[in-house]
Amino acid sequence: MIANVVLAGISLAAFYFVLSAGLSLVFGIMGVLNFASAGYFLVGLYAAWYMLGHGSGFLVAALAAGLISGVTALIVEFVMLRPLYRNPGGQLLTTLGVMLILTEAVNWVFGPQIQQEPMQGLLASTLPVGGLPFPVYRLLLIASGLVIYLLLVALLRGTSLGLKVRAGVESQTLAELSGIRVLPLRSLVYALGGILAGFAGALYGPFGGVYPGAGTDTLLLTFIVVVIGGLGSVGGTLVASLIIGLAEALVGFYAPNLALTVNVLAMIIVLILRPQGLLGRAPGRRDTHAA
Amino acid sequence: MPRNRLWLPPLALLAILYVVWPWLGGSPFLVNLITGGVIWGIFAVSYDLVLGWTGEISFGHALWFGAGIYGVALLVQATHIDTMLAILIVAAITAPLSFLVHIISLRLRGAYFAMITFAIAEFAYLLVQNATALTGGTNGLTGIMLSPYFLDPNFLYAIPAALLLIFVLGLRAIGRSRSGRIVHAVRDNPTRAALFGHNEVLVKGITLSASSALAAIAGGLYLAYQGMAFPDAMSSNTGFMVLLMVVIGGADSIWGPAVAGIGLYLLENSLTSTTAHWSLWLGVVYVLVVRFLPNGLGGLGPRRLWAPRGQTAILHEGAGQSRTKVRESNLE
Amino acid sequence: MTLQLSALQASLQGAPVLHAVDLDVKPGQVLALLGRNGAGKTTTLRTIMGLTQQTGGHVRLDGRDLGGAPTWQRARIGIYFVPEDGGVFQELSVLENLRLAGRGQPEQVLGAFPELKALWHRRAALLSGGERKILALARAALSGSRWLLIDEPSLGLAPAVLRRLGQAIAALRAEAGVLLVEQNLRFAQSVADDYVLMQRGSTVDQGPIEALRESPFFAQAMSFGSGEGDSA
Repeated sequence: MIANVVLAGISLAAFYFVLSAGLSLVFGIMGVLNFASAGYFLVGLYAAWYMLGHGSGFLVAALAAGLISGVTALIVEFVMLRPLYRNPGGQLLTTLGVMLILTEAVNWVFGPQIQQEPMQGLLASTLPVGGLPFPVYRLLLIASGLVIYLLLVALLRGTSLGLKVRAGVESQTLAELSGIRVLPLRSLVYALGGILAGFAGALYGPFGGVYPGAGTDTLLLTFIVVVIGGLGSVGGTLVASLIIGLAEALVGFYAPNLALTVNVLAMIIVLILRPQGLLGRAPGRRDTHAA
Repeated sequence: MPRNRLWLPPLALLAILYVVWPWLGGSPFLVNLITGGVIWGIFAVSYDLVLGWTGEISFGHALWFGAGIYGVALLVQATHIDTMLAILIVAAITAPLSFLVHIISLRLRGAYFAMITFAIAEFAYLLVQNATALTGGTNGLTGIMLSPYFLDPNFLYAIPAALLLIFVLGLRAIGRSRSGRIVHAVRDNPTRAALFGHNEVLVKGITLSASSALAAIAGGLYLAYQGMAFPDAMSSNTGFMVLLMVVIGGADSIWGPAVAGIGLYLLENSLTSTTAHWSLWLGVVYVLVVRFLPNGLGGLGPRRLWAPRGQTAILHEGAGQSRTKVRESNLE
Repeated sequence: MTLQLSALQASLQGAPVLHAVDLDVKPGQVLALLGRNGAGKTTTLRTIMGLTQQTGGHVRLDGRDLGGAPTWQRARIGIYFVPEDGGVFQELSVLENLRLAGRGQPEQVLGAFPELKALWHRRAALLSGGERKILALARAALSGSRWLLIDEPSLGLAPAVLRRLGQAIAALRAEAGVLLVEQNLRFAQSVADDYVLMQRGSTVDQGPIEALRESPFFAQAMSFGSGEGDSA
């Protein structure tokens, strides 16, 4: 039985990783806490649901959802965020607005009701794990999380583009001094964040439900994961996802109402004691000495 | 009468008209609606101290509104004291509590500060939802024994308005005083202000604690207005809404957020029945204001009224820039 | 073929800090920019890179005004800035730092900077202060920049490391003109050909480095008895 709970925790972790990795990278390179990510998540959620309802396979629907969200993010970055390039406060406020607009837009088009995600065949079946049925779909979550992680690592560690992104995450000024144009790099990472959020949205539908509040409902969890992992760190996000996913599954197994509360408390404690996150290095402390 | 007091007589006339209007046959529906709007106006003014005066972005202001709602509900339930007295007591307790919370939160900068305020407010929200024995959980607290004057809709309508007027005039006076200048100096350049002996965390902590006390008063009035306490009133959405009001009204002008708070509440509650997508338009207007009007809609009015100090707007280019990344400071 | 500053003005957060900076750096020349703390030396370098708001005057490269060119463009047309702390990416390895520096193969620098070989895959955060500065100069060499702006390279380095750094700078001048900001007079005198003195945001005097002590502005501009520099 415990094996079943642990496996459920890992599958949650995989989902949280996909959900949060983009947000973490975007913060790393832009210094912006991207509330709009919840909006792209929602766009992906509904895009995948719509396509599944119209006969598309799950994987195609999920990839298309990522693409649609990515394009949405790119447009938002270009039209709304780029003009506020040197105004992080304004960017933060704008992403909040984008989240509200996208949530309301989805609400308008598809209505406030909870939609049924049409799942069938293998993905709707279960396997016995530890004496309890375990949904096959959750295995797909784990696989997706793993693939996304490997792809991100390959991109960041194995390509010159990834090297530039890591440079920009560490210091935008230094990157520019090295002749790197950071502006297009930011758009690119922002779009990547949109793609990941949209893909996460597609993954969420079958186990979380399809409804307009889904974006804001998962927002807090995303923040918890990126804070504990350290903003800007993909490895940290993975570790934090595992911690939060397992904590949620285990605490939730014994006291369902407490799971989220415990995780939020963990986030507050980490912010106070170690604002750079468990694995991050860039501190978020108020500097009292620097000019 | 000095020239700069010329606005006093029309204001007094307006105040009298406002108060007597329900007795002159104002529609009870509108009286009720406006009451809610004015209470949100107070809430918005309290958030202006956060965004406008400290320049910090907090996503957790709903916590202090909720502290007022639940604090007053529980206090009145337990002791049956006068409601207005209960509101003042709760505000007085909220202030030091908020000071403590913010002293800790203010160790963090920018987005991190935004995040910890968000997390703490969400934590409180979850606690209120789950502490069923005390708060009634999602069922809320009903049957609060309010003092009789709050049961008369015309008094309920007049009291928040009187308080709002006092707060707006008082805060504008404080804003122009020496203390107000210190608060603004710390916001605009904490390093420089530190050279003059003003501790950033202390000054902002005090400002934020005053802000929370005002939010608690708004929350207490909101409880009186609704007659019951529900956790939804302190959800993150409440925190986002008040932020929208202040940004749209114009941070740091005090008047702007007050008017925007009232106006947006009225619009929301009259338009939701006609346009289901009011929030969508609100979001669009908000994003446009952030982009094009750093002083908010209030900034469009006569300068003397809205931006008396000629200060730099919070949302202008470069604000908060110095706190985005510590590492960058190595290069300076 | 010069990097030329004329009547350069700049301000920080609205407050003017540079009033009139005039200097020329020629290829192969090491020009020491000297002056006491707060004279505006670092700001001058930052303004050349477009990191500080320029409010007047000109930065010209081979006669072409850089105008409002963004920092990355200035870097690409051949100006390399080594800030006080070295300006290397702490989270990246030595190899990755070199890869980001320019078009050349990272291995090319091993001839001039053989000590980097042993540190090849080490994260820059784990390097010593001296190693970090050597890495910064290696990046500068690899970038093929024709102008190097080096801010306080001697800061916090032991004498032996300093000698090595002097050699490295001397090697770089073969390819580039160097504008060196330095507090350590002895070090400046050992590597520079010429000096420019700065005082309260303006350049006040210049000449060959041997004649530095004869400058009528020397005592004043260096807040005399700047023994801190001599003794380091």
